[in-house]
Amino acid sequence: MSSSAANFKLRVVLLPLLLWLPAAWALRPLEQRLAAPQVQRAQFDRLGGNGLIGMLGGMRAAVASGLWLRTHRAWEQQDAAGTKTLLQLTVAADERPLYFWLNGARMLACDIPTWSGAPDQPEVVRRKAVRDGMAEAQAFLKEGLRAHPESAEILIEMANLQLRAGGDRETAAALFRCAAGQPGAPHYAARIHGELLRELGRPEEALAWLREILPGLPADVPSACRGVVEQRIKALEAELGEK
Amino acid sequence: MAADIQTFGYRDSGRRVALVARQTLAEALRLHLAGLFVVLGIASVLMVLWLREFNFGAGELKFIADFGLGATGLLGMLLSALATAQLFFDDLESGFAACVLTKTVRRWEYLAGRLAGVMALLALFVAGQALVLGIMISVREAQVGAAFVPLAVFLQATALVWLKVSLVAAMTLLVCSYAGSALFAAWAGLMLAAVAHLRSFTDQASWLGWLRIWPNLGLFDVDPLLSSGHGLTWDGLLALGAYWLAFTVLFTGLAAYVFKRREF
Amino acid sequence: MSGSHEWAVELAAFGKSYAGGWTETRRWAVADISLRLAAGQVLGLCGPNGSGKSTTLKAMAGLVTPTRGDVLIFGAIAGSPAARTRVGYLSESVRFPTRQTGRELLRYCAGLAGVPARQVEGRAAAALDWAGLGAAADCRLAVYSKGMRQRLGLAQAIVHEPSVVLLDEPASGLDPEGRLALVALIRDLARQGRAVVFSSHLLAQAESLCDRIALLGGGRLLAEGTPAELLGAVRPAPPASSPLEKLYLEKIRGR
Repeated sequence: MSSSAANFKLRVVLLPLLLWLPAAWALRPLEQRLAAPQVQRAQFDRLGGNGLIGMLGGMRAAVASGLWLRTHRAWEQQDAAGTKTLLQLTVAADERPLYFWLNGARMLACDIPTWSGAPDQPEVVRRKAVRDGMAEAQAFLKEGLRAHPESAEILIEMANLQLRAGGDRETAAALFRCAAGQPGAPHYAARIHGELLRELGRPEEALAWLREILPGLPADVPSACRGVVEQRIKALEAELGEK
Repeated sequence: MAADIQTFGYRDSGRRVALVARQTLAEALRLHLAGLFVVLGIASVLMVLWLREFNFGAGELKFIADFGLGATGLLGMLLSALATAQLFFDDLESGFAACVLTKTVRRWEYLAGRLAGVMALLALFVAGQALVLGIMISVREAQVGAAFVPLAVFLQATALVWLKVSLVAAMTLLVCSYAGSALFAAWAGLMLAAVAHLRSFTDQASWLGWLRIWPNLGLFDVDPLLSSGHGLTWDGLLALGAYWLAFTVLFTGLAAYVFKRREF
Repeated sequence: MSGSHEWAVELAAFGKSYAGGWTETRRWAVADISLRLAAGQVLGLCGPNGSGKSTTLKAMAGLVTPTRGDVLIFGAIAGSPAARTRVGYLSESVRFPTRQTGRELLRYCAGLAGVPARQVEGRAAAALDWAGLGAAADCRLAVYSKGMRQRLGLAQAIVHEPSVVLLDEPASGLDPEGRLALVALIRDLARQGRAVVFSSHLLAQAESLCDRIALLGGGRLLAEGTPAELLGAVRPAPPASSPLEKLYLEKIRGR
């Protein structure tokens, strides 16, 4: 026996819809309070068919994790093109995990440039590959900053790449300064900014900066290295002849 | 003859709903479907054992949790839609629903009981998967020497998965009240769940604005909890619970309205 | 045992039509049926397939809404709360969940029918004993024969002691012995003062069992009355069983 609704009634179709619409509208303020992050259209376009079912199944994180695994496999196999493509797909699937951006940037900057070319490659070619890798990594991290505008970790990674690549301490110092100003930034970011100012031959600025951050460094947190900062201040004061 | 029979007292509604829920859970557990999904779920969680070669420290633990809870969520949605539709139409097509619905049980009580039974099934499924996943993460924590999120946060994440798949069951129940077959109802329920995941894109394309009448299943995403290591605040928990309850009651109420007018 | 109204079941110009969609024309499954049945009487709805028997029974059970006319159970509209407390229904060819036992099923049905919790066990056991299923109460329904499942269907229909019992093709698929057992149970229901309405296309069975018979054809009431009224002043002798049926029963019982 079946119980199909043999008697079609328009009100049975329309009335629920008419009740659903205002109810959903009434719940909008509550939904906005809960504020789920929006997925960017560009990410969706990039992802294409890959993992689409997973995305629609609510498995964004799992799809991205699966793509990250494949990226790792390509990295193991030293497949440069595969690693780069899969890295882009991974962050397109889910831009939220920071470790995709940080580890991806390290792959682009430090690993991929060493895969290309023969062992007897001329030095100039090797250096160009390293510079190109760094540039790609920086571009990748800039994209990460769009998804995580307040991320101290991404800024610090960009700064480290600058130092590693060509020793551009000016840019690195600016990046560490920016990172130190982000919520939840590690204490060392501020300390390294001061150190870089000193190395750049700007001891007055370094001293002023270190004096500014010292009150905010907790004494009971080893990673804050309050003692190290106090020593630096004393050294700078001595260097500048201050008491 | 019928003098001492309880009539339509609403104080007995709870008892009738509980009876139908218990019956539904018993039938659901006897379905091979539930067993199949449990096996699939455990297999997908255990699959991460081969990740042992990928030692990327604390990030690996998050990956295991992402993958495990994601698979639980996806399989949970499939189970939710299939079980709701199958159990609903089994009774209808066998004629047993007609025998039951001529008794004093109200149609909304019957539907609420069916939904409660499916939710209980989903709770068992999600809890089972989470237990296996939790054990694996604990073991791996010790092996990689990294700490993952606190237990309370992990349990909250598991609860969010259950809330999400339960909402899919309520959506499928609404379809069942209209539909003529279990297959159609299950597919439609899954499509509704997919649409509810598209809510994340409504701001990107104006033509998708009409999606706003759907519940936003993206709100039940566990990634913010697992990434930050912090659970929801009391305020957030209450708000999310209220959101879930509002849509569940809405869908069940609409299903009851339609089902009340359904003829056999 | 009966309500304050005289008639246990009353149909007044009952009609039911269906229209599947916007483009389908309305089709009358049942048109203009008027019937009355008192408590303690048995009414047989007889007619070929598609004559409207099941639709009429479902209207009495409150499973379909009349398009026209009224269907009343002790004066209350069929399907209303007051009517549903007094009705027990068995649908045609029902398939109960096979992994349950008979006792579990009856407990479930009794609970849903509003039997107080403390009485559920007793009522379920009594209904099973009445249906001759006491010994098989704790066996899974998968092992029940067709006859046993039909009797279980009867048991679930009366577990809450309704005043009106509606049975849709209860003898469908039963062997002669099963039919005899079913007839005995239906007679017992009438003896207890319940009004019983059942549908059947086995005219010989209806003739011997029913106090009133309604002949349906094409959704219309062709004739209605007692067997004597329908067949004339002289009620013919009950037809003898066919020789084969007689032999069959002798062999089975003599086992």
